[in-house]
Formats: sequence, structure tokens, C-alpha cells
Amino acid sequence: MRGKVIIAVFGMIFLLMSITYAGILNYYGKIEGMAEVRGPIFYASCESLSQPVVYKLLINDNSTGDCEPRQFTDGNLKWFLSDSLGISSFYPANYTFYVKARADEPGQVLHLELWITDEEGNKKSLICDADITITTSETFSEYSAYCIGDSLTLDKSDRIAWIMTGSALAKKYYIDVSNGNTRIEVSKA
Amino acid sequence: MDRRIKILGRDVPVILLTIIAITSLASAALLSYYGEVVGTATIEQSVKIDGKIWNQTIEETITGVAGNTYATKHTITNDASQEAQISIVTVSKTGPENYDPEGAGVTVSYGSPGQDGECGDGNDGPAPTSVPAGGSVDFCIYYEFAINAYPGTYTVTTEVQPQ
Repeated sequence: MRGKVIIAVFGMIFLLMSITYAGILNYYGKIEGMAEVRGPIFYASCESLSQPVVYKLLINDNSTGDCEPRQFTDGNLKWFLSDSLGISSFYPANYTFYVKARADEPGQVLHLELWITDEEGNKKSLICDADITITTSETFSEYSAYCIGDSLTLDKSDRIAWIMTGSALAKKYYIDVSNGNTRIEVSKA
Repeated sequence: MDRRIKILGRDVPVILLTIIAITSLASAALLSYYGEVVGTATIEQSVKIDGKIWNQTIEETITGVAGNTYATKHTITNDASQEAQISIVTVSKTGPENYDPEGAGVTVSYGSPGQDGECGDGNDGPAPTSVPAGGSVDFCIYYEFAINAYPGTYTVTTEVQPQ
């Protein structure tokens, strides 16, 4: 008899708690945000950091400006340097280069390198490199190439430098950096 | 003269049965109550997000690039006659393979639109903590993706909770 009373009392308590609980909202509303995220994009820009070889490499900002094509001769360099990345690591990645270019003479090879630099822009380590062969001389065409970089350990002040080098003597290269035409797209390797 | 009737093997005095019968009849003749009012109340949720209640999840989709911050705007309305205290909280975050919810990836924060009514333009204020009686407030959700966030699909669940 006593056991039945105890069970009945517990049953009543449980029922009362359930009713009380059901009567109060834990939340008024719920928002579920789903984001499809791609890797960052680095855009070569018209903005000069120091004449005549270093320009700004914009991060996820395709407002690169509208300027005359950058040009250089032979084995000279053109640098595009980003701001500090503010991160301490980066995953192994595919780096796809898109370059809108032409050369004085078809068949010229343009060498592309991607470097980690320190805050002052001094080279620290090569991420990866690739070549493209420019086949047009009269009109600009978009060329692409890719390379794979290992995972990176970085200082937060480190920057990325995209360095373009001509490989032919006495030949002129023209790179169209306006309107986000020349860029690097990053994806997971 | 002491007359008795046998009920369930016992002798019960007739006078006793008569008294019980009279009492029962008297009791039946008195009203316990004159009438009964049954009140039925249908209560609607007073605080709603974008016009939706607790079991109507709001879904939003963002297509973005690592290194950027994306902001969305929502409205909380309060139909009650008293101010509602609220808090806006992140209850879960999931990401692609190898994603560490405690590490780099997506950072979620909350605020309120600036005077221009836009979220994420640099003029935003703090997240609201109350909704005035019969009024509404806007709030912003900021999804900030680190530049080294793994490419893939991230899901973030936010709740507006009573305080």
C-alpha cells in the first residue's frame, strides 16, 4: 500500500513538471544559416606600392581599377604583394593562376611564382610555381596554370607575393590587371 | 414494533433506512451551483522573428569566399503589452571535414543595423537585448570566415531566447 502511494506521488510530480516545462518556450525563434564557402581569391591590381615593379595584390577584392597593362621585358620582375594575412597556418591548396596577357611574339613563357614574405616584403618561402605560354601577340587572352602548395606555417604579419618573370630576352610582356582579369583562385588540395 | 429488514445477511432497522432515504431526497433537491463558465484561451506567441514562431526555423543561404564577412538582417516583433528581454545566441556550428568549431573557420557575432538600416557597413551597433511592447527591433548576424577557413559547407544555428 505504501509503495503505491509513493508511485502515485512521483507520478503527480512528474506530470506537474511536464506541464510546467511545456508551458515555457526555450527560444522564440531559430535561424539556420548555411554558407557555401570557397577559398580566397587574390587579385593583381593597378595600385602601385613602389614603382616600377611592386603592385598591390588584393584579397577578395576585385575592384582592381582600370589601368594600362603592366609591361616588362625579358627576365625582369613584376611583383604583386598582399597585405598581411593575419593567420598562422594555411591548408594544402591548389593555386590556380589566371593571367590576361600578350607578348611581343607568340610562344613566350611567363614564369609565375607564389611566395610567402615577411611584413617588409622579403621572401621567406616559395609556396609553388608554374609557367604559362603566351600564344597571342596582338590581343590579350586569358591563360591559366596551377600549382599545389603544402600546408603553411605563418607569422600573422606574413604576406603573399605573386612574382611574374619573363623568360625570353628582348621580348616584352603585357599583363592586363584591370577589372579582376589577373588573379589567383585558391581551393583545397 | 421494532421492524427490521435483512440486507446482506444483517438486520437493518426500517427507521434507519427511512432516515437515509429522506436525507438523500433533500440533498438532491438542493443546487450545488447555479451555473458553470468554461474559459478557453488560445495564446499566440508574442515574440516572433521575421514573423515566424519557435517551430518555424528560418533558413538563410550564403555563398561566399573565405576571408570575407557576410551579414544578414532579421526583425524581432513583440505583440505583448510588456517589454520582452531577449538574448541572441549561437547554439551550434558545423563545418567541412577537419573543421574545428573552436579553431579558425567561421566566427559568428551579432549586432544591430546602423542608422541607414543596413547590416555590416561599419556603422552597426550592439545586438538588442529587449524588444519594446508592441514594437520591433532589427538585428544583424555576422558570419566571418577566416582567410584560411576550409572551403566547404558551414551551418550555423542561432536562437533568440527569452531572458
